[in-house]
Parts: sequence; structure tokens; C-alpha cells
Amino acid sequence: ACGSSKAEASAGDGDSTSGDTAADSIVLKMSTAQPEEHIASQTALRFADLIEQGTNGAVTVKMYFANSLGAQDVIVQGLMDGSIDLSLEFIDSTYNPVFEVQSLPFIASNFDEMEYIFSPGSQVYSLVDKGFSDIGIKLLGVYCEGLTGVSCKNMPESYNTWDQKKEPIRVWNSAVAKAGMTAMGYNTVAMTWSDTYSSIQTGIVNGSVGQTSLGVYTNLRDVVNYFIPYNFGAEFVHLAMSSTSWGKLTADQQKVVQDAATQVCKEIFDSAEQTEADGFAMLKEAGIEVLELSDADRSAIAQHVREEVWPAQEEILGKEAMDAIYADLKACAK
Amino acid sequence: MIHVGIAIAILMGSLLLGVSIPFAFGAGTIYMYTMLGGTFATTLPVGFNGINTMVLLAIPTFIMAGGFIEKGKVGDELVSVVEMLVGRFRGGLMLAVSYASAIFGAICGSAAATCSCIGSIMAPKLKMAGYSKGLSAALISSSAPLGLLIPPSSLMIMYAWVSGESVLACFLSTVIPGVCLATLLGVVGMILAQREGVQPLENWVPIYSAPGLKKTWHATPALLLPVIILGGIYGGVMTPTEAACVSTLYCIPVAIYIYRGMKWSDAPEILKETGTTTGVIMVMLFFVSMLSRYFIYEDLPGALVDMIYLFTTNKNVILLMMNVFMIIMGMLMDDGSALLLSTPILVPIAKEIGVSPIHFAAILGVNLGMGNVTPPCAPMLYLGARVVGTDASHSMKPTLLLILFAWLPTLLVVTYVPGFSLWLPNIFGF
Amino acid sequence: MEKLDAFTRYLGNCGLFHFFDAIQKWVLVFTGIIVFVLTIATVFLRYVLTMNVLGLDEIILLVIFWQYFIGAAQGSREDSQIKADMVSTVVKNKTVVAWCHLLARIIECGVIGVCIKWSIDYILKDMSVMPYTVVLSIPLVLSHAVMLVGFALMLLYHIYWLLTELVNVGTLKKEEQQA
Ligand code: NA
Ligand code: NA
Repeated sequence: ACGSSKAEASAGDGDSTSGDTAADSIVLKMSTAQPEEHIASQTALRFADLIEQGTNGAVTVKMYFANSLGAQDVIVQGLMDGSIDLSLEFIDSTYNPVFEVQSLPFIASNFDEMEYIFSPGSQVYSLVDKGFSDIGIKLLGVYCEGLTGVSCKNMPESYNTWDQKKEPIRVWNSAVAKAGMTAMGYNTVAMTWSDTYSSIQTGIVNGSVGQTSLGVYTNLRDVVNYFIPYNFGAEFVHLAMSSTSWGKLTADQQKVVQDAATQVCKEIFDSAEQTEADGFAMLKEAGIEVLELSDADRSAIAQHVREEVWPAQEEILGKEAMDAIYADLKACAK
Repeated sequence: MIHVGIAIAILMGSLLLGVSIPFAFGAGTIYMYTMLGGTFATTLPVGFNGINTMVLLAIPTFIMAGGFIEKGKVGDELVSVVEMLVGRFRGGLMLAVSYASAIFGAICGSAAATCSCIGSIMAPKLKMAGYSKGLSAALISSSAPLGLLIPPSSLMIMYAWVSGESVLACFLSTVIPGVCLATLLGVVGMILAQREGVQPLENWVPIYSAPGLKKTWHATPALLLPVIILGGIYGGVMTPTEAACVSTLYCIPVAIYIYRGMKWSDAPEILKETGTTTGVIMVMLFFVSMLSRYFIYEDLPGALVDMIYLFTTNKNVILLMMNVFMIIMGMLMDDGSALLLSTPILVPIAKEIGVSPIHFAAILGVNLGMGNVTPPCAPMLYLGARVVGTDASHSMKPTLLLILFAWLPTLLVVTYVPGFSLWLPNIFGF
Repeated sequence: MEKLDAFTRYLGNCGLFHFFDAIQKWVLVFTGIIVFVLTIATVFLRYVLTMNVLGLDEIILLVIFWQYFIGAAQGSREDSQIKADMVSTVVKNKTVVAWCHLLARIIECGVIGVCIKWSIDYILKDMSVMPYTVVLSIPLVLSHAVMLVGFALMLLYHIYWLLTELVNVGTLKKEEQQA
């Protein structure tokens, strides 16, 4: 019997949009990639609370943590046909190469650029938003934890330039990420995240790129000795809703959901800089040296990588996407 | 929740009737799909994404490696060395069976392959040395699951896949229980053999004698296989998948040119057979992911936890209940299906009562390993009897003694002494 | 019943079945070789050339997925799908067992039939949104298509086993009548 209410929420007929069904409570299924105690899942819980309060309990959210409904690709397909209503997951470029634009190396070299580019109003955001709606997904916001760097066991030679370095660094399975690291003078090894820890430990790679200071503290502190805050990319996931499920909400409910999303994403942006500083402190306490970069060094590297890597991406991402990002960066600079 | 109950009934009913396991899971899935008004994304995409992952690639590659190792007469060489080490004792061939199975287990991930390979080599030797067929079959059957406890292990790869734990950590958790169980099985077997009145081997060759050293030299290429596989994986040189392929690469010339167990022209047939085994297992996993997803949707583990808490909140009692549940599963179905049904339900309960999923991997491994010899569904019991050339009814009584004095004590220690299984994974940083 | 028996025998030995056997065998052999070679190449590139080629795993997964479904079809052909058949170990009455097995075959064919419908849906869906792998942009429809192929073959073989079971039930019935 407890199954039937959920089934109605996801597969009920379309006329619940008219608003006269407000007496029935709608249960939305939400998937997160992280376990319940992780900050991202806590944010999802807060998002759920805001929705329940805002709709006086007419819309409730049932959470499924740690990908218990399936991995990212299953979740995306669920969003596309409405069997999953909400997700806080990274949506990759399987359905549209343009989605990769947010993963460009040095898309944001500081927190101001990060907040601008990943918030509604930027051209990049609109582009991704449009791509999502083409496949039946409503983008509610981007949840951006911070900027990432390289963590490693042995200190790389000339880490503050793009001179060639010897020992390889793990990258995730992405041609752009690999190109970015190569432009910085690193050798790379692509591997899944689950192999990273043991591969650093056993010396297959010297370290890993793509984690924030806090991420390194949480996951890799036992195997690395250094952290270099390059601001290589943004650590983000998409807060998204199935367009089908979105269509079943009343206009008021839609506003509550969107406002809740905007609010929790804004809170994360606001705390990102402090979170990074906290992460640095925790790393230092754990005996990991943070190799500081001067602003000049960092922007020189960012500039170099953007010039080396970005032009070639136009072929994959399209001119529209590249124009969007240049326009956003220009708008930031003002 | 009523739908979950009916789906389980459909699943079990179909299994009883003799529906192949993947389609029994499929029947349950179709029921849930119909009743819950499922959408397209809750069907094949779940199965596709479930098995379309590099983690599971270790299963087909180890099956392939196992095919070449079995054909390549590598097992004979391992046995000859083990025999020289323990053959001196009265009943020592029993120890040889269990240790040879354990060592063969380090290059092969399946109980059936261990059973048929070590079994068919040892059966004639046991017969010549005067061991009864019943006891021989019982020990061969009971030692076969050691292949699942000593890494690599297809069972542990599946467990890691379902529970989302590290494959390497799960592999390590069953090593010490596996080695202890091998010793216990061998010793209990020895005592049973002595009571049968077997005498020490007449033509036993000590390993330090000239012919012994020559035999060992000849066996060296075979003995290197476990070194390549385990060293490769735990030295951090290779992933399990890569280790499987490298061991195949090494095994083919060894099998063809040194041991002459196979010819180049045998390769296509081996690939076809191993490909079929792979397909059968993976499509089973494909269907299992679809039905499990519906169980999670409907929060079956949560409902079970609530139900258990109605009876007791005592950790030790709950562990006992979970073991009994798995023993029953092991009596009803093969280890893989029992694992796929139990893991998504039991791991959340284990976490809830503070048992680490790695520790639980060992409990489940030993428990379902034993399921291979507990009737009525006891594939190794029947296979072992067939390899020895006797009826399973003759090996039933010694098997029961081995379960009582070797399997169950190991299971109890694994369950209630976490360090027994967690010590090794901890050393490797898990 | 004799006619059905003869037809089943004919089907099990007909040219089409042998043709499929050969195709399945070579798909299994070649997918096995490709996965083996690519995996060895990964290790070789990493250690000998200290190189890392992105996206090899996408090719491996595509190829092995063909092995999974063609292998399963071969398993159906040989009737070596994994079973936990308890009826035949517990029940001694041959007729009851035969009826149970017949029912099991009918369920199997029904499930595979539904899966065929779903895999057609899958391919149609792919045609409309065209998903690609992230690194090499391999169309995922290449992987999804083998599900349709595999299930279609499985249906064929399970219908064959259903007929065999039907003949078996008929024969037992006749024996009973004669006794
Ligand atoms: Na093994
Ligand atoms: Na059993």
C-alpha cells in the first residue's frame, strides 16, 4: 500500500497540474550522489525542508542518498522520463557535448568568477539550462562547493609554472581535464575516482587533480603530503528536476521549489571562500603542506591554460558555448 | 510493501518451478513495473547502467583466465608441490586437497573451476592411497569454495559491486578466514581419514630430495601465476581486470609450450566457452539490478530493519539472525544468486547495527561459500561427487562433519571477531 | 504430438540454428580477443611508454557488452542459464516435474517477450536523443542494440525449449495412458 502514493507522484495522470489536487500531497523522489552525512546531502535535506515548509506540506521530498537509486546515468534517464523527480548529481555530456563547458579547466580562476558563471543570469548558465530543457530536465541551480587543485605525495618540480613535471597525476575521464593538466606541464593518468586512493598509496600516480581543499582532507589526507590550490576547476553538481514532475506542480509550488533551490545554491556560494580557508587549516593540521601560489602566478597559469586548451574546444563545444564563456569572463572583469 | 512481498513470491515461485534465474528476476521486475506504473527509465536502462561498468569487467577477464589455466594443466603442477610438502603425514593427502584448492584459489575466482580442476587431479591419487570415495568427494567439495575466499573471487567482485565497497578490500577480508578454513578442513579430513585407517604414502617424495627439487623446478612457472596475480593487484601495479589479462597472456605460452595441456587451435573453443559463462552471469546481474532497484524504491531494507527491531536490538542476536537467513538462502540457491538477493537487504542492516561492510563481506563470503555444500541446492557437493565418481549420498555424512567442525567454527569466529577479517584490509589502508 | 516432436527435432538441427551457432561463436571469440588485447595494451602503454590513452575503457565496455548478450544467447542455446531448479530435486513424480518445467518455459518466453518490447523502446529513445559516450563520442545505441539482438535470439531458443518441454509432457501422458 505504501507504494501506491509514490507511484501516483511519479506516474499519476497529467491533470494534477490544474491545482485542484492540492489536497493530495505530492511526494518527490530525490537522488543525491553523496552519503547522508556529506554536506551536499545535508544541503539537499535543507532544500527539501524549504519546499515542505513553503508548500505547507503539500509537496514533500523523499531522499535517496549515495546513489542508492543508481549511478549518475540512471538518474539522468529517470529525470528525463519523470521516474525520478529531483537530483543533486553531476550531469555529464552524454546527451549534449555543450554540458562539458562547465568543466573547462580554469573556467573560473577565483570565487567571484565562479559565482558569476555558475549562477542564473550568466550566458554559460543559460546555455546549459537550455540544453537540459531540450532533454526534459529543468535546471534549478548549480551547487558549487569551491575551486579545485592538485594534491600529491611528492612535491612537483616548479609547481608554480607550466614547466614539464615528471610524476603523473590522476585525472578523471575527460579529454578537457587531461588537456588542461598537460598544458600545466603534468603527465596524467586517467582513472576512476574509486581507484585514486590506492593508486596514490602504491605510487601508480603521484596525486590527483579535481578536489577542493576540503575534498582532499576528507578523502586523501592519509596518502598525500601537498596541496596546490590552482583553482583548476569548480567542484559542482547540478540541482535539477524532471520537466515532467515540474509540470505537475502548481505555479505557486514551482515558485517555492525554484526559490528554495536558488537560496541553497546562494548559501553555498557565500560560504565557499570560508570553506576553502577551513579546508586549508584542516590540511595543515593533518600535516599536509598547502603550496601557496601568488595571485600573479595563478592568473598567469590560468591565462596560459585558457590560451592553450580553450581554442581547440570550440570544435567540440561549439562557437556559441565559447562565445558565452568569453562574454561571461569579460562581464566579470568589469 | 505488499507489492514487494508479491514480487518476492513471484521470484521465489519462478525459481522453484525451474525458471532460469535471470528471467525469474525479470518476472519480478515486470510485476513491479506494472503495479507501480513504472516508466521506461526504470527498466532496461537500470540493467544497462548496472553492468556497463569497469568494476565488473574483472568477472569476464577472470573467467577467461580461468578457462586457459584449467586447460593448461597448471593445476597438476601446483598439486605435485603441495603433495610433497604434506604427503608425509597419515591422511596427509587431505591437507594436500585443501591447500591445493586454496593455492589454486589464488589464481582462479570460481568454486566450480577449483572443484573440477583440483578434484580431477586428486581423485585418482586419493583412490590409490586407499581413501574412501565418500570422504574424498566430501573434502574436494568442501575445499572448492576456498577459491571464492582466496582472492581473486567472483563472489567478492559481485559483493563489492552491489554494496559499493572497494573490490580490493573485499578480496582481503576473506583471506585469513580462507587460510584458516583450509587448515581446519585439512585437519578434520585427516582425522576422518585416520579413523578410516589410511596409511602414509609409500612413494612419498620429500621436496628437498633430488627428484623433489626437480619437480618443484618444473612447477615453478605454475607457481609464479599466483605471484603475478596477487602481486600485481596488491603491489598496486595492476587492476584486478588487468591482472587477469596479464595472467592469461602468461598462461597461454606456459600451457602450450611447457605443460602441453592445450594447443593454439583450442583457443577459440575456450574463448567461446568462457564467453558463454560470462554472458550467462552478466545477464543475470542485468536482471538483478532492475529488481533490486524496485526493492530500494520501495525501501525494503528499511522495512526489514524495522521488523527486526521489533524482535531485538541486540547486535549479536541480529548477526546470528542474518547468518541463519543466509544459511537458508545458501540451502535454496547457488552462491551468486543468494549473494545478489541478500546483499542489498542485509548490508544496510549491518551498517545500522555498526558492522562494517568489509567485515560483512567476510561473513557473507564464508556463509555463502558453505552454501555450496549444504543440500538441497549444493552444487559443489554434487560436482565433487561426480568428479570422484560416486553418489552424493555417500559424501553427505563426511560433508556434514566438515561443516560442523570446520565451516561453522570458522563462520562463528568471522562473525563475532571483526579483527579476523578486518586486520588484513586495515594493513592495506582500507 | 509426433508432428510437434518431429518439428522440434528439425528446428534444433536446422541450418538457421547452425548459422546462428557459428555467428555467436565468432562474436564471443572476437570480443574476447579485443577486450584481452585492449587491456594488455593499457598496461603496456602505462608502463612501457608511460602513456595513457583516454577512452579505451569506452571501447572495451562497448565490446564486452556484445559479449554479455551474445554469450547469454549462447547460454540459452545450450540451456546453460543458471537455475535453482528445486522441483526436480524434491518432487519425484515425473509428470508433475514436466508440467512445472513447461510452465517455467512459458514464463521465460513471456519475460523475454517483454524485454524485446523494452529494447525496441530503448533504441527508439536513442534515435530521438542520441546519447554519446563522454570521451570518444561513441553512440550508445551501438551498445543498446545488442540487447535487442540478444533477447531476440534468446526468445528463439527458449521457444525451442518450450516445444521440447511440450513434447516431453505429451510423451509422459501417453506413457501414463498405456500403463
Ligand atoms: Na580465488
Ligand atoms: Na546450498
